[in-house]
Amino acid sequence: MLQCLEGIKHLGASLSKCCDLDRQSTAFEDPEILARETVFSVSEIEALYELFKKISSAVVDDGLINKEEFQLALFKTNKKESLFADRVFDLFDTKHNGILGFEEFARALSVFHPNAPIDDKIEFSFQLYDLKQQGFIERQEVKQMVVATLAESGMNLSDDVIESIIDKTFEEADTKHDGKIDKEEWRNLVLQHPSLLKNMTLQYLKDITTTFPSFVFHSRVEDT
Amino acid sequence: MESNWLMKTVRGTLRSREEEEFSHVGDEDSVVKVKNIEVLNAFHIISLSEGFDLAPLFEENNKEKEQLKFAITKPPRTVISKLQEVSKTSKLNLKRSGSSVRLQGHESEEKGMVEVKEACGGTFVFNQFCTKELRPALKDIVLKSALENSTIT
Repeated sequence: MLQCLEGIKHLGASLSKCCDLDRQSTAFEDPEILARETVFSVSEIEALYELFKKISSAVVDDGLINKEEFQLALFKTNKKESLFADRVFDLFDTKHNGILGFEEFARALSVFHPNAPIDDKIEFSFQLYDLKQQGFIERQEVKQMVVATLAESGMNLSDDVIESIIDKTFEEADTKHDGKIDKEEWRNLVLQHPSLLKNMTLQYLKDITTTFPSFVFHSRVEDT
Repeated sequence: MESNWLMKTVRGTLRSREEEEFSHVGDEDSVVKVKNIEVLNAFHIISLSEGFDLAPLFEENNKEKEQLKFAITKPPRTVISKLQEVSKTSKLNLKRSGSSVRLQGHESEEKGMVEVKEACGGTFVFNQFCTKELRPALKDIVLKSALENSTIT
C-alpha cells in the first residue's frame, strides 16, 4: 500500500516537473505570459532575459542561474559567502531545486520593481528575515542578522549597543509582547518606517530596457 | 554646551520616537541643520547589508562608489563640519535633505553622501557613500573620530 502511494507520488512529481518545464518553456517563448503575471511590460521581460542570459552563462552555460553564478553577479566574486545572499537566493528559488530558471528570476525581481504592490514587498521582506522560516521573526534571528551585517561592513558596535538597539526594536515592533515579530507586527513596523523597505525596491528595474537592450524576442514561429 | 545638546537628544529618544529636529549649538556662521534624525532600528542596520542589495546585478562595472559605515559617539555636527571643510576644498556644494547631507559637484552630480541615524542616546551611526576622489578626505573623518573616541569598541 505504502509502495503504491510512493509510486503515485513519484508519478505526480515527474508529471508536475513535466508541466513545469512546459510552463517554463512557454514563458520563455512568450514573454506576454510573464508580463501579464508580473509588474513588467513585455519589453522589460525581454530586457530582463538579456540580463538573465548574462548571469546564467557566467560559470555553466545552461540557461540557469546556480548559487555560484548568483554570488558572482552580486558580489563580483564567487568567493564571498553571505547569509543574506543565501536567503535571497532561497526565496527566488520557489521550486527549491537549487537553481533559478528565468521564470523564477523574473517573478522574484518583479517584487523589487518600484511599481510592485507594497504588500508584496512586505511579504517578501518578512520571509527574508524569517531565517528559520517559522512564520515569525525571533530576537535571536534579528541579532544574528545584525551581527552578520556589522561584520560585513566592518562597523564596530559594542554588544551593549547592539542589545539596546534590538531591545528598542522589539519594544516598538512586538506589540503583542510575545518575544517575536509576526507578519502583522512586521507590516505595522514597516508602515511606520518605510525606509526599512528601501532595499526592496530597485530603481534600476525602471530603466532596464535601456540598460539591457534586446532585439525582438524570439517569437514562436508557426510551423504550419 | 555639548553635553546639554546630547542630553536634549537622549531625552527626546527616550520619550518618543518622533523625529526631532536639532540645530547645532556653536558657530553662528557654520550652522548646518540636520533635520529629523531617525532613531535606529535593528532592521535599518540589516537593510544596509550588501547581501540584500541587489543593485549590483544591474551594474555593469563596479561604479567607483565606496560605502562606509561607522558609528561614533560624537554628535553629527562634528562630521558635518568636517564635510563642510571637504566641500570647501573640493569646491562642492553641501546640501542637506532629511537626515542626510550630500556633496554635489557640477550639475548636481552626487559625489558623496552621509546619512545619519541615532543608535541610542549619544551614539550615531553614519552611512556614507562617496566617489573614489572623496574617499581619502571622508575616510579621514572616520579615523579622526575613531582616534578621538576611546569609548568605541
